Amino acid sequence: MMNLLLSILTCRSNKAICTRGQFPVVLSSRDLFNKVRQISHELGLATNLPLDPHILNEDISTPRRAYTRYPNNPPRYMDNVQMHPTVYTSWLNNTPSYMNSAQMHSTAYTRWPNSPPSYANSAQMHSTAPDYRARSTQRANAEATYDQAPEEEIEISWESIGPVIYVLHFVFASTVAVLYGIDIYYQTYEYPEPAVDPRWVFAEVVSSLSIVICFVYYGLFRMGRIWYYGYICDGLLSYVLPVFFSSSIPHGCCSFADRLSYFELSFLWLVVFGIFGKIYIAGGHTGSMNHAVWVDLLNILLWLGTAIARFVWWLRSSR
Amino acid sequence: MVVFKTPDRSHACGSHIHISPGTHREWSNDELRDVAAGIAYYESYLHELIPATRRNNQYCQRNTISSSRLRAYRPQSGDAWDKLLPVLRSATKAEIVSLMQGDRKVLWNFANVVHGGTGTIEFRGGRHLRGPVRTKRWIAFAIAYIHLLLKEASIPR
Repeated sequence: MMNLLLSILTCRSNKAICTRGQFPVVLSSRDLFNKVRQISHELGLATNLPLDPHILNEDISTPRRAYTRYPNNPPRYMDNVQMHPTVYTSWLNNTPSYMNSAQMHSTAYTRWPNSPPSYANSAQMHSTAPDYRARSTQRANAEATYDQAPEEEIEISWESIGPVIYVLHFVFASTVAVLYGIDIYYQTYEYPEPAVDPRWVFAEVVSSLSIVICFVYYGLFRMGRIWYYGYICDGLLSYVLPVFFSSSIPHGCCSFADRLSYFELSFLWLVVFGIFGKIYIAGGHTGSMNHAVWVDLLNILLWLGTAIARFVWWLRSSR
Repeated sequence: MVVFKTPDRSHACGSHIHISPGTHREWSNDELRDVAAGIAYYESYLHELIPATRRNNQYCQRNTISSSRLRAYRPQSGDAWDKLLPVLRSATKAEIVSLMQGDRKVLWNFANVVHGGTGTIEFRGGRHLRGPVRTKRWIAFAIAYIHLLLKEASIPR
């Protein structure tokens, strides 16, 4: 209706309305931008468009602080009218056209018109201090922060480094499996009949168990997320299953079952290290089997470290 | 979006955004007419929105300045605007292109929709871009602007 009225006002005759086509009435470039932004919202592109068209054009050659010669003076790329627009608000605390009432009076950003937002303290908010840094420093700062998306903090938790740890477990466990496997292969050539030492078989079993467990747990790690967030099963199962099987209940909390087996595995590796350390290190041997003993030690440290770290995360998590 | 090397800052630079109607589709004559009419209609407002360095720039001249025919039809020039719509309504793609621009160095370049070009409408008024954030902003702006013209602005058939 408003549209029609305005078009009647702006056109000189009824004939003009018919032949001019249906163009939405635009009162200013800002108004045009608001219409574009409205369309972008319908297209799902709104997060890429700033609320203020001047952000599209802001001059990046100097840091933001340097634009104003005096606190409320307009920056170089704005004139006085743009800086102190009267189009947006007809009265203090009225909502501008691009916000609804809830956004305007949201307590998330400001509790009161000139209160600092949550990301600035009072001193930052009301600072009138000019930037006395050297021009080159300002430029370097602007250069360094140019076009940076807000940084996301990476929290070190089982969620973030778990897959890397599993890869390390797999690599070192398979190293041991190969080294001892080669030795067992040579033992089968012993004369007069093949005599495979059970201690070597034990080392093979432990390393295979490690490989299997890190594969299974990696699978559960992936599935645990799916179970937990209920993408596959949306019922009681999604809460019950992770407690026993999943290693990735969020916030570093882990299930009873695999906390236990990380310690168990590190104990088994300790036994392997004890046996072969006694044979090769105490015996003063050299060669690949001697190196394998140190890989055993590495495995102990890896499994024990993981077990302790996960136990600590579990203690510190909300459980 | 990955930026392999951040280019040096230069106000002499601009960005060109090519907009196609979709994969394996061409702009239809009706769509081109709507877009062309809308571009001419809102040109002065859009000109205020683009960066100062791109205004009256020789590489992205306003369509109404580049094309003397279109200049005669500007909405500011009274009854002339009313005469543009019948002209557009009966225009073919090639005629739209010749109406909208003198050469390819215009704010909205239609030359790619004819003669086996890329089939895109090119927006040449964007600022110089060196990173993903602002690039996405300008792409979103150009796409939404074309959608605005297609959806809201239409010339009577």
